[in-house]
Amino acid sequence: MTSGAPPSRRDPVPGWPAAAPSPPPIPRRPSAPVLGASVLGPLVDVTMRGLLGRRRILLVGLLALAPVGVAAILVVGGGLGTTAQITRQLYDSLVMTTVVPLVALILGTTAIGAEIDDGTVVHLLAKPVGRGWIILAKMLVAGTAGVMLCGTSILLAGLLLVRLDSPGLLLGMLAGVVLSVIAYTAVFVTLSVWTGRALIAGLAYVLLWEGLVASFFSGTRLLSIREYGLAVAAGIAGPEAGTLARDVPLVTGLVLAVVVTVVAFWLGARRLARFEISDAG
Amino acid sequence: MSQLAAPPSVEVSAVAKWYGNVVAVNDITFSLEPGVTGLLGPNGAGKSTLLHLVAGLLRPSAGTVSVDGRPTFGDPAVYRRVGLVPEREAVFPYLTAREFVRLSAQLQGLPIGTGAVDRALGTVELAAAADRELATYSKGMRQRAKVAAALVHDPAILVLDEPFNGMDPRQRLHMMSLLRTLANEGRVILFSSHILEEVERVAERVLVVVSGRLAASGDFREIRRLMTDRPHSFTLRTSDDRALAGRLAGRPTVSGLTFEDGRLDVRTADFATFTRELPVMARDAGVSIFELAPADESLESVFDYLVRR
Repeated sequence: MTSGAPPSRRDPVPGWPAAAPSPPPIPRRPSAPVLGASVLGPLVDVTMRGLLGRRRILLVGLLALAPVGVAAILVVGGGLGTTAQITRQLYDSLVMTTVVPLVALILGTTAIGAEIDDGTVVHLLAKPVGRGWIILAKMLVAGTAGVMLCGTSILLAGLLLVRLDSPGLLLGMLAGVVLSVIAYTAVFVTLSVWTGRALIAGLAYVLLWEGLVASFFSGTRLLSIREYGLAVAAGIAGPEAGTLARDVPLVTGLVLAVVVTVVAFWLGARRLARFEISDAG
Repeated sequence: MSQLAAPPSVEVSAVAKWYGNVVAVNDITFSLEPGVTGLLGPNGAGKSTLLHLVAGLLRPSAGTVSVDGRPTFGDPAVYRRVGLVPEREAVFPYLTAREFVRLSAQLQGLPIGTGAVDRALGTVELAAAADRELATYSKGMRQRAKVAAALVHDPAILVLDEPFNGMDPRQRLHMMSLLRTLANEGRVILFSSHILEEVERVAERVLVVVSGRLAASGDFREIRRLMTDRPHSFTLRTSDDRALAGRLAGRPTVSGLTFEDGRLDVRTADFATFTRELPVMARDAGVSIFELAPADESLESVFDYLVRR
């Protein structure tokens, strides 16, 4: 270089095309008139009818009522240790490990996953509706249905076995079921928005993670919805908790379940806001 | 209140959409104005992808799609202006048509009792069947229920994916005149079809999409002329192929000739003149024509020509 001034980066290089002008700025949109709480009612309504209209709700009902059947058989058969002890075992090994997560899995993935699969979700998405409200409606319906089914089931099974002799245990078990159903359904609704294989992913979580890993390594218990539910159940049952007692305190279980639910909601709404419908054809 | 006070605008600029290695839509640019625009192309050409991009249901891999100057993807507010009739038949089977359209009205924030639901149902001639569950509907009726749901908020822009699929001829005519009426009110109507005649009947402008690319766009008559003037191939079976071939070989309209296995293949650059000349030459040569069949009349070959042009 012999010329005086050093070449500026803006100088065109001989033989090279001039730098492309920067793209025009994306126009800022005015504040978006997107609908809010007023759409929750209609969304809940159509979700509920969709859930009740599908045949798999019968399967869910049967699954949810399984503990009542087992309790009835135990009462008739009798002679298996104290009834409180049997109740705890039923709760720990059947209700919280299988019934609650599976009922929540089917409800949670049906609430929106089935609509994504069959394409009807487009009728909700092609509307000026805040995506959070759609997720909220799905979680409300799946959660309420799950709470009603599993709550009724554990109350009936508990009453059959311990009658009203252990009200603390009954209340604790109910609270544990309610809390874990809500957290599970929230997670599974969000899972359905993130992956088309939500049922398999959910099963893997329930069976592999909670069933195997979390039962072998106590450190992973803080990452298990089942443990939150059991912690709350044991905490409320107090001295009646017996073998349900956990090293996770009630408050920790409660707070973590709430955190999981809120984070699931946030992730679900976020994902739905960028959701793509491919409609191959 | 009608949305048409502000003229709607749709701008698609250098848009591409790919899935991994598969390019569904490649570098497409167009803008839409009030009136009916037909999106024509063979199956799998990327029509649905393009419509989903316009409707904000797909994120462009490159380029921009905007409605009234605002990018459509990730902005639910766009659906105040846009009504979408998706191709998939899926509707909530447990709802009646009235409930389905009412749901749409509610999710559009329309106040109850304005008559918008009944008006939309009347527009698609479903008022009589409105209280039947959608599960009991025929394909064409479901299609109309979807149109009613998309129209309930009186959108300035209406996007329809294969709206004539599954309709009987009478429903088809009704839908065509409906689209014309809506367009005459100043709306932007964009619909896709793989059937030339449908597009010809309704659309004043055409976008031809082949293999994800915009092969042609503009006035329909122009594209029709291109399609008619393209080189044609015919297969002939005659009483004397050799004699007829000798005559044809001298004609300027014939650009190629082959004959084998008792079959004569003729290529012509001038479709209209050739079809007038052929019978005369056959008569003069004393040759009977048993069969005359276009060799490449599939829609794909028409599109293929438009792309290579």
